[in-house]
Amino acid sequence: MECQRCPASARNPATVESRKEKFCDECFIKFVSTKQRKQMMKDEYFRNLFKVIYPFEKEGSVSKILLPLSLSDSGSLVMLDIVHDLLLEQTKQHNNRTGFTVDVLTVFTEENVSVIKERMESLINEKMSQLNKISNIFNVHFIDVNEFFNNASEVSTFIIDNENFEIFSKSKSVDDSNILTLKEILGKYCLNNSSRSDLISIIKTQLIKHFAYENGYNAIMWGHSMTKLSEVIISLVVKGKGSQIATFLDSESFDTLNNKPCKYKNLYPMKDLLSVEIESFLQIRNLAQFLINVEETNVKPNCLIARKSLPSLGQQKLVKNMTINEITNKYFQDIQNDYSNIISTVLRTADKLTQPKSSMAKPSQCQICQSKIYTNPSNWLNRITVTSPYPVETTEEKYLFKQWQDSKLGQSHTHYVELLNEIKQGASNSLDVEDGDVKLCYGCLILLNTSIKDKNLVWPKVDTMDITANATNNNKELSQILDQFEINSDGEE
Amino acid sequence: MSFTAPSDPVNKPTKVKVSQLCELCHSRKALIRRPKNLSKLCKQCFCLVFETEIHNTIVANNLFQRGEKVAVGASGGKDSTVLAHMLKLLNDRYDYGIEIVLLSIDEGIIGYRDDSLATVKRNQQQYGLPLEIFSFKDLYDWTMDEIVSVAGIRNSCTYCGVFRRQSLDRGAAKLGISHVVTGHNADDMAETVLMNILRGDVARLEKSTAIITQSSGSPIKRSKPFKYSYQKEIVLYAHYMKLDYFSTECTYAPEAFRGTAREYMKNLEAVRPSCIIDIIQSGENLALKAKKSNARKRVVKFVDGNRCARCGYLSSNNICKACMLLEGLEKSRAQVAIENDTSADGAALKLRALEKLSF
Repeated sequence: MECQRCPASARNPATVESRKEKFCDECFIKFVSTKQRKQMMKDEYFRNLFKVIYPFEKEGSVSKILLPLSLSDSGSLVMLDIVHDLLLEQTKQHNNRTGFTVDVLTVFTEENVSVIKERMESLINEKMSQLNKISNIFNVHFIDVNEFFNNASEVSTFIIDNENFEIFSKSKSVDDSNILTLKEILGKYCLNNSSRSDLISIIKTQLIKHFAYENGYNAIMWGHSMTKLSEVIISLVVKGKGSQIATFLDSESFDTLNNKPCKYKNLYPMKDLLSVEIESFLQIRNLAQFLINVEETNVKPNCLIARKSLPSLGQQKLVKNMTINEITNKYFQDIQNDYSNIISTVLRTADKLTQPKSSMAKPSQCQICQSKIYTNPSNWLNRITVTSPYPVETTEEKYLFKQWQDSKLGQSHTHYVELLNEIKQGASNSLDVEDGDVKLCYGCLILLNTSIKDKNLVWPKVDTMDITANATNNNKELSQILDQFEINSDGEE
Repeated sequence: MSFTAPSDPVNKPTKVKVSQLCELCHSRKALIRRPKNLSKLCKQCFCLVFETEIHNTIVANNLFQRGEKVAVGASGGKDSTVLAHMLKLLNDRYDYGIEIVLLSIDEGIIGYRDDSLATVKRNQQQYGLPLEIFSFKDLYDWTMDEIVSVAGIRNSCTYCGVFRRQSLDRGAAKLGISHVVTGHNADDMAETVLMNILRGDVARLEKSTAIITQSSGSPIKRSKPFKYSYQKEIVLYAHYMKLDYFSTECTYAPEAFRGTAREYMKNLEAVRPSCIIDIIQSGENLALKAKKSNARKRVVKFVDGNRCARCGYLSSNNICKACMLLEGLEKSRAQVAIENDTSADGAALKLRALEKLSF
């Protein structure tokens, strides 16, 4: 079997088969790189960001790109590898100059901090040492996921009224005694894996976007493959966040954070590549060693010819323990053979979507996930759900009701009612909360109502976060990003 | 030693634990977990909540006008049986002032539709509502069994869907009714939203969750009062109200791809029961970008209210979909047939016969 892309005179043996075409290693790497670079040159804004502009002294000639790197996801690692090659090419062609600088940002948790540090060190030393020697082109940053909670001076407690789905909130300032942590939030409030995964995803995205906002980046390069994007799109629909699809995929407009315009645009350079292609690239370039859970990664489906007969050894989870994203991922894997074009169709369809018309009196933003709110979710739910009971009629029913009131169950209900009343009271007394303010989007309201204990959640107030910080505050935040983990351009720790 | 009478195991009063009580009224034993949000409810609360939610949907969307004559698309299945019962109940309770007629379509599937039509006829007696039946054979000169024998089982849903939709409209028009109500439920609606995204059916994407559909040139409007009602809740309601319905699935295979979407939704429901309503919420908020006009391309604009050149039924093209399908079928129709031939009678009949076997 020969590569179909090599010149006829010197065909190499094929190692990869993708999209009904056979590739040798070299041609496949070129195929993947070209797909990514095409996206990086998709419009004038991004062309100007990535190409080398003369004269160098001109202000803004070198743009700043943020590349969030997740070591548990192949997409961002492959993207980094291709961007690294592009930067090396530019340094060779333009006398150690490049059109852009890349800042890699990795969000870590308490549990994976040591393994992330170790893998990142070996990645920099083994793969990126050449570029790392040239100053200010390539920087690595680490951020603790708990910074999301440490950064806010106030937190809000949101609670859903179980009778009419209205959302009430009460704010309080944060001091050393009541700083939240991710562990606490996930353990204390979340009732299932899906809600945990949703909250982690929201926190990580917010952290990355805040980092980009504060440090004046021109673009965030997300490592989502076509498969991953399709999964996210369907998951958004399933979670009642369909209205956010257009904003999520938007690469044409500047992002907004807490209603403030940002200087960066979001880019998905891997959106033309399937996850199986990314996995194959990872194997060919021997990058899997830098991922966390590398054993699992080795058996992920890919399109390497030599690996075709290997069975998928992915751990079978019970559906009840899976997250919505995992179920969607499984669905795509199951139908991939019979309906191969589904993944690209979903993405193509989603690309045709725009933001829906808003029925809100004033623009509102969800105070948990920061997405725009287009309809009042409480009203919508209230209109289609009845929560009033059939009247208590007989003596026996009255007796049972009294028993329930006196029981522990009744008291825990009373506890919820007391908390609700307390927050309602606080909200009406609070000057900074306007009546009729819609605080949460439909997706987050449902999350609280169905998957969060006692329908209440404490969350940092984004507008009290230090997002308009100047350089000094900026450094203050960065100094909190565990200095010992920051690798500067000279490769020092 | 004195004799102690044994306790009466039959008439012994059962003690209800507090944890077993309904989560709404806290005074009656909960009998079900509500599929929509898994809350534990007693029969009375469940029925009240279910009925009131449908009433709220009808009122909020202004589905009915006083004095209106409404045809219920009745197949004898659970959805349409509950719909007929519910409309009669709510019309009496809240005085909508509508006149309800049962409208059935006989697709000609021997062993399936003839049995379900018998159920509709019983429903007619039970609810005291007038019933009208129109058949594919009378309208198109084809039965579904004949169509399947010619076009194969894989395409059965395509033919049946197109013809049934048109038959309901034609039937309603003949009876002078301008409003057809169907039993499409929340599960159907959510499935359609997902299918449209997965298949890239952009033309249907924005309208897939509309509760009322009507073309500007058509006198018939259609509505779906069960838009927000879970299929499982409809079944539970039919069970508790002891409604008489036909529960067999159509024997002609459901579309394979739709089956995968159903399986996916079933898995999602295990994790988040509200997902069906959540998908509908998403579907209501999907909006398409304005199309970029291409001066070079000759744009054939879709005219709402355009009519088929052959049958005069509403069509976006010159010839409607039903006429196109009929044309294809006529070409395949056998020129010579055996008298009293029953070979075209579908799989449903054989299945029925097998079901009646006993050993």
